[in-house]
Amino acid sequence: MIKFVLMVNRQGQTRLSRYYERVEVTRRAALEADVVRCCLSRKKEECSFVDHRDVRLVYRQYAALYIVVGVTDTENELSIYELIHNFVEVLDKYFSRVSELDIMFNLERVHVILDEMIQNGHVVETNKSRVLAPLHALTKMADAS
Amino acid sequence: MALKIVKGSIDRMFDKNLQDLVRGIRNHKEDEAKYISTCIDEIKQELKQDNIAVKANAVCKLTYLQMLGYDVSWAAFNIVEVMSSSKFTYKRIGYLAASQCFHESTDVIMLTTNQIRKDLSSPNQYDTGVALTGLSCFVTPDLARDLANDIMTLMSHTKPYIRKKAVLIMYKVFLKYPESLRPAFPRLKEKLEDPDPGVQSAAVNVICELARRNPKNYLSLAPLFFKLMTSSTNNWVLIKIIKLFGALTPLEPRLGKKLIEPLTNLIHSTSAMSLLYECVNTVIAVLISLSSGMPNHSASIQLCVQKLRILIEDSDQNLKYLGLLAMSKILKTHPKSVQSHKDLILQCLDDKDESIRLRALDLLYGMVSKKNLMEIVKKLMLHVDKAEGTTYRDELLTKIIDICSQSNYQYITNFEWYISILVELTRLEGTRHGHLIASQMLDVAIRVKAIRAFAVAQMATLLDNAHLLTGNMQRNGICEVSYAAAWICGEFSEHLENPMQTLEAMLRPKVATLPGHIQAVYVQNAAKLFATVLKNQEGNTDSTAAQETIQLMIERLPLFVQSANLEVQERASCILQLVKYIQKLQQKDVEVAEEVSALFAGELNPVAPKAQKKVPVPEGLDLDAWINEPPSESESEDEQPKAIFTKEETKHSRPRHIEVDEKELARRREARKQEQANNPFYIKASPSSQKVYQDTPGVEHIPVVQIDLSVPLKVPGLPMSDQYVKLEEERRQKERAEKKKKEKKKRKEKRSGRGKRHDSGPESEEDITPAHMVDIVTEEMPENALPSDDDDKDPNDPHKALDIDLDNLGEMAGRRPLADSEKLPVRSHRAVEAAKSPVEDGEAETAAPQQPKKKSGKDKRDDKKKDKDKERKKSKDEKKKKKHKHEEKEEDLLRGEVDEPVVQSEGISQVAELPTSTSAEVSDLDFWLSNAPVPSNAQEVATVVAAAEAEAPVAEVVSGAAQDSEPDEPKDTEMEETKSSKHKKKKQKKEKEEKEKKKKKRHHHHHRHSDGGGEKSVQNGTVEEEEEPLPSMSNYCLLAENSYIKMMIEDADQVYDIQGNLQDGSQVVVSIIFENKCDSFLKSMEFNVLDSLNSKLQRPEGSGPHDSLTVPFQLPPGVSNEARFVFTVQSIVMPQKLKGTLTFIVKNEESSTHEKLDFKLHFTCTSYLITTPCYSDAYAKLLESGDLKGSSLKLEGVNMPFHHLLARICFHHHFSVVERIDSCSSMYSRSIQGHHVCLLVKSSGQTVSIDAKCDEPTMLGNVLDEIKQTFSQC
Repeated sequence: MIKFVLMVNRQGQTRLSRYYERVEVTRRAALEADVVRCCLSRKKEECSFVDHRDVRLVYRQYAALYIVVGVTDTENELSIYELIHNFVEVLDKYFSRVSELDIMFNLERVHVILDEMIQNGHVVETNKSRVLAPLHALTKMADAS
Repeated sequence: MALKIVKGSIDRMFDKNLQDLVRGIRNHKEDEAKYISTCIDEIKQELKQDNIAVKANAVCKLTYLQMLGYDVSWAAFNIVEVMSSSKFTYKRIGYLAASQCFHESTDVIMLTTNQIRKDLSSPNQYDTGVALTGLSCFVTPDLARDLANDIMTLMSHTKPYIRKKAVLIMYKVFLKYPESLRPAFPRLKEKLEDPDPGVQSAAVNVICELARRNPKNYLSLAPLFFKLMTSSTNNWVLIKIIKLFGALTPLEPRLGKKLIEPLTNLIHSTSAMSLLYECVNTVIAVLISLSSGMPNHSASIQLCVQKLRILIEDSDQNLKYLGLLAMSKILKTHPKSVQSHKDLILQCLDDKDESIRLRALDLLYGMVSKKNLMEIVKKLMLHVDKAEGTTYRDELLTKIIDICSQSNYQYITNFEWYISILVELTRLEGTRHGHLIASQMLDVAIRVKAIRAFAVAQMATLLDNAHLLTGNMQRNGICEVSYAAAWICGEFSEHLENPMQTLEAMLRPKVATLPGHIQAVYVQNAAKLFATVLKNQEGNTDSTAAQETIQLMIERLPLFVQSANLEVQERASCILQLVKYIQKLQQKDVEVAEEVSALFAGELNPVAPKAQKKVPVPEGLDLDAWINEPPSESESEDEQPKAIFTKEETKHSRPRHIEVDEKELARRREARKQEQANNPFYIKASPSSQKVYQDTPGVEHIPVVQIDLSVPLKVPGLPMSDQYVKLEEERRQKERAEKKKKEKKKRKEKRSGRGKRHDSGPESEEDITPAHMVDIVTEEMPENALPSDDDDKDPNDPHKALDIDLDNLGEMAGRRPLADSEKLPVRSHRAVEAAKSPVEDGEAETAAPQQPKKKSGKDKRDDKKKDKDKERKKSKDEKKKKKHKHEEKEEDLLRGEVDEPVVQSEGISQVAELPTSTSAEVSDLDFWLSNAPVPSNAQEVATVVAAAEAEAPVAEVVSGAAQDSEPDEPKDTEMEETKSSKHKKKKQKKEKEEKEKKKKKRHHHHHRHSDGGGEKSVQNGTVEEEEEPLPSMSNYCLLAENSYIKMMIEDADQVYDIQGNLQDGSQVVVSIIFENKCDSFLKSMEFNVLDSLNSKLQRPEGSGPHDSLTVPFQLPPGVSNEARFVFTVQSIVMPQKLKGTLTFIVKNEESSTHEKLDFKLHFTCTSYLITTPCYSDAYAKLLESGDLKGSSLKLEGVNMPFHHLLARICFHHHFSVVERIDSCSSMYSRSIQGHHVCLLVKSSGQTVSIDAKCDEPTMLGNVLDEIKQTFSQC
């Protein structure tokens, strides 16, 4: 299962974090820093799977933004690798050419998208329009009120 | 004015939303912390407002700050406030914040229970969705217990969006509240076949996750998953299922065999790399679990390796990495298949990516052989030189040593080469693994006697050039090497060419900068060397050389006497005194060399690490008793049993007693020798022969290798191992050449020529004779050593609590019904739970494989006890299974002998088996795995017919496994073993043909059986008549008459789910197995039933009410297959009979004829019942409601234990036990149209009375009649 999803930029600033296993708030910062260091230190030509302590990290880089997913060793790395891309595609579709700023300023929306796709450490939905449906409904609701 | 400013600032304060906050943080890069603290102050102000919009905004900002690592737990209550807002936009913010911040110890969580419950039942699906998502992040045991029932209801929600979320969150609920697993499991299992792929995927996810931790409980689901695997096209789901199978195969090898084919098909067909990778992984796991050889075993391995090669050759680094990872799994069991790809692996060593290189290194470890070891290591040495970054280089170093030393240096043929490699490795700068090299040097020098001279020479050079190393000695671990060098030079000093020089090297002042434990070894071994030198010089007439040596010692040792290290100091001062004493003696011209060297006499042999443990404690010796009373203050020194070095030191503590006069020493020595001779446990200096290569004679016969000194082996700083590669190559070639030349004289050669290094016996490529002999002490284990406990499960693992037997849930409800205490708590009735204990007791006595009853909620933390219970249960279960098998076998034998009275024996077996069989599912699974083509009944019939030599082509419409065929099924396989060979042949043939049949059909077939075992369904059987009035057939018909129509779970459930708005008509599915018993081909089968007003066969749209349905397959001789037909039933209160016809064409070589077969389908009333669990409070309510009409029944002369009776009612009539007290039990069932049927069964002696209540009296009457019939038959 998926343990956490992180979005960090090249400066190591967390842009989004979602934990599916309880991690103390105090430990989160340290963990995130470790993970970021681990991923940033890797070159482009190196593979996208790293074992970091008891977590296997699967990451992808999009411009200055890294998306890192921590999984247990029973997860299929390639499928997670694809999931990350799927997630980014959904973001891209919703924000039309997503950028780091989009994520920063619309954090709660990104969370909605993420929650639609991953719940409880498991993939629930990968269909783009179905992932975005609640968000569109939400916008409608906001417009109505 | 001032007011305006205040107002403005308040406005701004309210205006600052998340965007402003983010922007603000970006604009305050220098004083971010300060800015944020002011923001937090503002947020605190905002939270005090009554306006919910403001609060939500504040909470939203807090969520962002929380992500940045700020503690926001103080706002927990405000978050709850926002969560309970009625507006979805705010509610969502609240839930998001909660899911990020809340955890089990957040105390306000308990305030949320009712809010969450309200949201879960909200008509707006997004309200429910957001509540579910949030809950999955912060669910606590209390929340799980209180909400389990609500979530379970949501699992059957009409919207798939809710269903899938509810299904997924159940996993978290199970973890927090394990008691919910059993009651929720049937529902969860249903969801595996949900029409919505998302829900299906969610259910697969949850079950896979559960099964990964406790695979054995989920083995019975294998057929269902198998069906999903072959039908699903969703790669996400496929990956999960295949992973699950990977976890199941170790438990059930037969499953593995079944899997290989579909998996290889997938490997061939899929374009998704992730799926391919998963398939390959599971195939590997399967092949590992299959100990027995499979015919196409190597083909599958070959396929995997091929595919992996493609992955590894891919330019995508990710694929390369995973390919290597999977390859290493194959390596463990099939090293040969991997070895052929050595080139590729070596290529990966050059990869840019370190993690890929490391994976390749792992692989290399398993790939070496005698032949390629030198080559591989040479390649690795090149990498060591090139490697940048110490971690990778260190990794390389350890790998080289691992590779060479694995399985007792099995692959090393030339130890001179190995020593050179080790020496070369010492030139690595900054390595942490000096001690590793050192221990290897020591190990080789001690164990390979023939290499000692060479090793000593090398070590002497190393010591001599220590200053080259010393530059970096202090900084890194490489100085450990000089420890080994000094020890080897000292211990085997007789091999030294120039001991004086080495002695001088060992006493250099620079040595004093080394770590203490190394200095100690230097001093000690200097003494040994000194003894040797003295001995060498004593023969000389000129005593000046000896004088000089003594002088050297006396000059240099004081340096060590002043050492801060105690060990060094003590050793140095002892030896200094000794040397001074010797000097005195020598000045008196006394010959002392003999005695001095005797101090260090005696050879050291390698001792198995655990040898000490093997020494038995002599009788009367109590090791725990104090010899002297312990001193009041025990100053226990922490002994560190660390590795070889400390051990080595203790071995050489002898010189401490040097002050003892020589005479005494000699006496002691003598005594010791005596003692050693008598001590059987003393390992004597004789060559040990634990490891012998072929018929090589003892070590002594191997002469010390002649080193060709023209090769500049001794020059330090030059790589030498390369030369050995050449040398070795030459040696082998020479050997080969000689072997050819002297092929005829081979034997002689072997005997006499062994001694010479350059020739040895016959040599195959794989079996190259080693140039040196290794003495290896096999590591012995103490006799009573127990294999380490395999129970390595973390006791804190939350999954332990989920190790619950789920197999016999529901359907065989009599076995293991859901106890009342297991029901999910429903809101208002929590108090009821406590009153249930007598029921549990009663059940504990009777129900066979008892699961420890979950006590009331309070007891659930009594984990220890539970575990114990579980343990006991497990063993019980196993026993039961064995017993069951055994019984079956016996019965088979019986049946094999008495073929005629089948009915009778089956009647018996049925009685006997019902109570003992662990569950129908177990046998179902067995059957599914056994590959048997048809249920045994059909086969029986078939064989009997064959025996009667029936000529007429007969298409047999066999009832879909009458109820006793279910437990009978595993017999098929066993029968084959026991029955006559004639039968065997026939069956084999049949099976063969079956195999040739299309896969799809078989799956179909299997599926039926899995469904037969499905929890909510229903046994089965259609009444079919036979054209041929054979005696066996009549037996068969009799069986079929007391069975019912098979209803498939799916349809039954549809009705079940739509309980609110009952349809007029309900669907019933009938499965029919067609078996071809003649020698001709049967085709164009058409199935038709004469519809009644009430029951109609469902026909495809557009066809008329009397058209027949085409059976979607043809039947070659001896083959059976199954088809399903759907009937619509309007009223279910009366049993029904439908007349039908099957028409078909019999085709053989000469002709084809039309045939037809009439039959009657019998729908009994109980066949409309669905086993439905009911909780006792709900049951009580139902009875109180007064809507039910009563009726009763008395059975006389029922001669069976009460629990058998219950089991029968449960099994045949689809009831479940609600409550049981002694010989009185309440039972419940529900019809597909929602009629409640309640029974109260009482037994006294041979009389059983059944009081029944149902809201449909006609139906009740019929059901009771059917029950009566069931019992009148036994």
